[in-house]
Amino acid sequence: MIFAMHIAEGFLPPAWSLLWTLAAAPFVVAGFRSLKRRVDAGADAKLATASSGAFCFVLSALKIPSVTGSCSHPTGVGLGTTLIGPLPMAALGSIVLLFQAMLLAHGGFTTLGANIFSMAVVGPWVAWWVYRAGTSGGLSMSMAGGIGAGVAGIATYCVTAVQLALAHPDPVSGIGGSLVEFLGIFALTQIPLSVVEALITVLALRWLSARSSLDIPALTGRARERSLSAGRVVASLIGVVLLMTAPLVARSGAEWAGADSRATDMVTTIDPGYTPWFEGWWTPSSGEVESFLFALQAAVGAGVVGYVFGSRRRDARRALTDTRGS
Amino acid sequence: MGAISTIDTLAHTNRWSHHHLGDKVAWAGGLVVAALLTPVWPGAFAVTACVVCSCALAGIPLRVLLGVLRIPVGFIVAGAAITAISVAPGQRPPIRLTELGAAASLAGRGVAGTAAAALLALTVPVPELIARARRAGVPAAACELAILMYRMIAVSLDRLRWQRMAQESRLGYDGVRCSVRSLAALAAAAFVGSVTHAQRLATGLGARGFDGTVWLLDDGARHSPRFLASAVSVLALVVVGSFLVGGR
Repeated sequence: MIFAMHIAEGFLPPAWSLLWTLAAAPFVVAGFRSLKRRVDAGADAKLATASSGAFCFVLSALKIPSVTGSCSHPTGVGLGTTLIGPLPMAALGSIVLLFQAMLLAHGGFTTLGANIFSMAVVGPWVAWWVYRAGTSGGLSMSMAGGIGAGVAGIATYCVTAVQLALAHPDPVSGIGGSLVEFLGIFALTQIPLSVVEALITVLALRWLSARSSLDIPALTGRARERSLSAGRVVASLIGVVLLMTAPLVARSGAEWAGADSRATDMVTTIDPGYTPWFEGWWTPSSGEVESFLFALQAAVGAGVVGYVFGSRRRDARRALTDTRGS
Repeated sequence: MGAISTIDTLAHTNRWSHHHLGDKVAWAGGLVVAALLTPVWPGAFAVTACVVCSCALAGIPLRVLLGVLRIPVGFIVAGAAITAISVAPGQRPPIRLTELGAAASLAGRGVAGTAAAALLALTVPVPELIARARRAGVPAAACELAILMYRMIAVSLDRLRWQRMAQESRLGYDGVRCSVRSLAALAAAAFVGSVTHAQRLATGLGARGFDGTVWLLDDGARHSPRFLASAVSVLALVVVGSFLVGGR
């Protein structure tokens, strides 16, 4: 019965507790800054913000009838982030985690930083990115929010497993082995939980957008107006080019062999007497032909991707002119 | 009106509630640190024993302490069990038991630390902690938000309990499919409830001249030299004794 993956008090050595606290601190401070601007606007805004914080706490108190028969709690991170935004979520989430330690004795005080990092920083940002990517890719708000909640749940569980593996490496196989163990054991509860949380979030967002008259940016569609602008597209293309060329420049002397030949080398070092049990039924007549086939494959793929994006863009523009015309 | 949790109720009503917050934080916080830093044998046992004795002194039933520790201990046992096994792909056997001692010490530390943290949660009320944090220099915005959240949580949880009871009495949790639908409705209702609650509060408080200032009151508790002295001496005894007996 492990829910929401709070690392218990005393489970992390002091150095790791300190490190994760430092890692979470900038996000929490930035979150409170963003909230302060909102709260200073007036008494009403202060009450509204506090009430969304209370909502986050209450969400984490919902009990899910889990597949394994025990009761588990969702993190509520996906739904909360879709409705409130990731930066305020870091601040409100850290208060919620403190309250969970103080009022429910879940989590701890020295492990609070690590728990904030996985549940109030990584979870909300992942949920937000997936949600934004989904809505700008044409998914409905509820669908994107739901997928974001599921992915955020899995991301939170992976981060927690990394935190535990780093602090308690396996004596034989090191951090990697320990990570596999933690991921494997917690997958039993956390993956079904993430799926259930995604379903709940989709349904809840659908209800909210269909049946409530509340003026929430995420619900009334104002969040969707800022879709991909030309500047952002150019900036991300430049980023992609930089990322691809940087390793070539940084390690100019390196030999750029493919993963296949590395694997073959590895096999021959482990077992020098290894004979391949399978031969390709056709070998390209020369290196040039091989490169040509590779390039052809890439070109076909690029064409398909380009077609999909182009047609999506045309549909979106048509939908926009339709709404403007009517 | 329901309470937030048993822990919250006990934090307000236990026999130590008249003690100064600083004294209680020094004692329970000191035990948390001792659980982390002293050798597990006998440090963890000494810390756990201190927590049990403190609960007896503060009038907190042992049953409640065990109930509070049940879920975190589940996590600790699972985590320690994982460190006890070792996976080595490519070697024989691929899964084997190693380092039982390390796993046991991790479990001991976890249980002692969690018990000490639970003692802190059981003896220190949240509003007092927030008021003290404000005076210690934590920004006002954070403290005000936290105290407002604390006040609203009780009402929100109460609403949630009634809504859930209504769903349950209409067989809303009959099977997984139904449960997921009901939970989604509950989450959506919680959001609508929290927004409308804030709007009603704003209207009502605005009519009474609320300008957004949240007062954090001092409860006027005094430091108790006897409490502090015994806390510090027992802590020193635990730490020194653990290092002497356990060695390092």
